[in-house]
Order: sequence, then structure tokens, then C-alpha cells
Amino acid sequence: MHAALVDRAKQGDAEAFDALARKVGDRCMAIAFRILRDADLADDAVQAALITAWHELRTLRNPELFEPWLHRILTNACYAEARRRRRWSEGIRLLPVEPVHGPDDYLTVDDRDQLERAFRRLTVEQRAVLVFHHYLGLSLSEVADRIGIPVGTAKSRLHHATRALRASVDADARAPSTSQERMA
Amino acid sequence: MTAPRNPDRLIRAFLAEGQDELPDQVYDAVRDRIEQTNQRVVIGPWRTPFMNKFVAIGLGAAAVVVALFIGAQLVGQPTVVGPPTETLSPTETPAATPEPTTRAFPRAGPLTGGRYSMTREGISFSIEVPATGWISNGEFLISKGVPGGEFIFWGDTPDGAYADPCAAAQGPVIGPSAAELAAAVAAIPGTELVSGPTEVTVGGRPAQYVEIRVPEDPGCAAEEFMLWYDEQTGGRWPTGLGDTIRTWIIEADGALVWIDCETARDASAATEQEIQQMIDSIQFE
Repeated sequence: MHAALVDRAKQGDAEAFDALARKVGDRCMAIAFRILRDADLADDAVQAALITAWHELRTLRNPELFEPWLHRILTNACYAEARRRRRWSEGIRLLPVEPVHGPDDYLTVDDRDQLERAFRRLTVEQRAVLVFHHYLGLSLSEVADRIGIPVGTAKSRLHHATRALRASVDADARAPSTSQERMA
Repeated sequence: MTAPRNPDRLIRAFLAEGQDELPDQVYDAVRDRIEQTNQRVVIGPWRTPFMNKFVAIGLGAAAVVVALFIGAQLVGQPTVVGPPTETLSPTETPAATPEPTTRAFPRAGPLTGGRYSMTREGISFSIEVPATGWISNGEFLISKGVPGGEFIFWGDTPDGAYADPCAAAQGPVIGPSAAELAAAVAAIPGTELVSGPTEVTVGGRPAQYVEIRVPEDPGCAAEEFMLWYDEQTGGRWPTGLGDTIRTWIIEADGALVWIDCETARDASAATEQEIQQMIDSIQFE
């Protein structure tokens, strides 16, 4: 889809790469935000991924595969950002979850709260598999290929992550009170 | 009474929410950085997951792969630094001609047929290149490129082999003898030993020869199937699964010169012959 721009960028055309980045940037941001659950960290991860992509672009064989290739770079950038945050935030209490607004009324405030907390307890590697599978709608083999891991590993990460999230939802459903009541 | 709620739908709904827009200042920052950042210079369609002289070369749909990797490891000798290596601009492909003086490597670009001299980490030798479309990257690789897909490249002699190729788990440092390195190559887990290690002669120097085949289904991608490593520069992985890799480890003047050649399953006989001719043509100076 972006092959012509990729080809020009591979020739060192910064203008073309800038145009390319603007075509794929929002999607990268959506992925990074969902993995990292933090807009500033996601900004940094996307920025790092795009700069790496520029530097390595000539190693990309098939321009048609630019976006999957970039997503793998982005995933690694997310891992790096998550590690960086862990290093300097150790011992600091988790900040309150910022409310996010979306179109699906299926989620209650309690659902969001429970899922957000459960999601943050997952490893960043598990989150990445969840995001590529449930958000981008990729099959497990596509997820494995996109992230650069064996299919068995992707399956295992998805299984554990999904189980943890389901458990949080189920626990909430069984609870007789709302989160506000529990906090009171 | 309310209907039971679907946890998977809840997860999908949860993930559907969130920030979807990259701020303009990030695009601006990227633009600023790339204008100050050079792209990695490569010739041929490679993949390089980390800083690496053992560059694997990929071929997309190309049917034939030949790779020849030459390196040198000095044993108790000072390193002689050659002239700065040249880079090949993607828009610039000047034809290099055989050079009477010794260079670190043939100049970047298409090579005319003839003998090329070079110095690799203090070891001078020459090689006869056929006039059939070989291209130098000016640094460590000679290739035929797509669509032929034939390649030659070279760098440093490895320090050891991987103990678990798919997991990128390094085995112990090997050597420094050619026989020890050849034995390590012959024993890389998951690969099929086709022949060797065998004592041979290259350019009048004693050498070890070993030929292995990369498995077709090792459980990981070709670029994740790690063969051998240099502690300073990284690891070497095959261009394609099922490829055959022939390695010559030559003992030359107290140093080791490493040559490896990778061929796809359906490499042509003519290409195989050219590779062998180039190996046979090597002369140490």
C-alpha cells in the first residue's frame, strides 16, 4: 500500500519517509498505547521505532511488508520503554488509572477499572500478544510472525493473559459491591 | 435477570478504547532526527536485527542463494588497519575493475571479471572474480544480487557456535585452531552435517572444510536460527532454511581466514562452479 513511499525512503528521501510516517503513525500510536497504557511512553516508543525504521529501512526486502516490519520494531521499542519505566518507577505506587472514553457501552466503569488493573499486571510481552490478537484481529500465527516469536510462545502468552483478564472480569461479576463501595 | 457477559467481548471492547492519534510533535521530532541520521548502507536485501558483520542475506522469492563469507582472525599478530571502507549508494553503482594495488576490499559496485587483491585484518590475498555480474559492497560482501541471488560476503572469524540456534544461546568460545572451529561448525545443533571436517588446501595453505545443511523446519525463522558468533560483532544466521553452507577455515601466516558459502537447495550448477573456481583462485601474498 505504501510501497512507492517506502522505495523512495529507501533511497534516502526524508520527505517520503515523513509522509510514510504520517500514514502509519496513528496506527503505531494505537498499538503502543494499548501495550504500554501510557500516552507519553507510547509517544516515545513510536518515535524510537520510526527512527530505527529509517535507519534500517534498506534492510527491508519487500516494501509491501513495511507495516508488519515496523510493527515488530515498534513492539521491541515498547518492550524497551516498559523496561525503562520499570527501572525508575520501582517502589513508586501505581498512579490512579486515567479514564479513557470509548464507543462501546458494553463496558461499565467497573469493567474498565478491573481490566485496566489486570492488564497492567500482565507482562509487556503478554500485552503485546493480546493487542495484536484482539485489537488488530491477527491470527496467532500472524501475531507470532509480527512479533517475531514462535507460535507456541504466542499461544502460551495469549492463554495466560486472557485467563488473567477473564479472571478479573469474573471476580468483579461475583463481587456484590461496586468499586466505589469497596474503596469507601 | 441480566444475560451473562462475554469476557472476550469485554476484553475487545476494552482494547478498542484509548489513544489513537500520534501527536504532531512526534512526527516533527522524527523528521529532525532522520535528517541527522544516516541509513544503514547495505547491498542486497538483508536483515540485520543487531549490529552485525555476519550479515544474513535474504532473497524473497529468488530461487538461488549463494553466500561466501570470508573473515580473518589474527593469532598473535598486530592488526593492520586498511583504508576506510567504502559504501554503496543505492543510486550509485560504479563498475570496479581489478586493481594492481592491495586494498582492504574491492571498491563498492559491480565487478568486472579479473583478479582482485585485498587485505583482511593484515592478511593479503587475491581472488579471481568471474565476469558474470558479481557486485562488491566495498566492505565485506560480494554478491550477484537479485534475481540471481548469489552472494559472497566476509567479516571476522567467529569465536564460537551457538548451542541452541533458535534460542540464540551461545556455546563456549572455541579455538583458536581451525580444527576446533571446524568441529564446532560441524556440531551446531539442528543442522545436518553433509561432510567434513576435512583437511584441504586453499591458496597453498592448510585449511579445514566442513559442509552443513540448515534444517527446513527448525522451529524458528531463518534469521532466528543462529549458527556462529563473534563476540564483538554478533552472530551469523542463514539466508534461508534448507540452505547448504560450506565453510573453509584457512591457516595463513599465523592467522585464520574464514570463508563460507551459502547455497540454496536449487542453486544452479554454474553458480556452484563459479564459487568453487573463486575458492580455487585464492592466492595469498
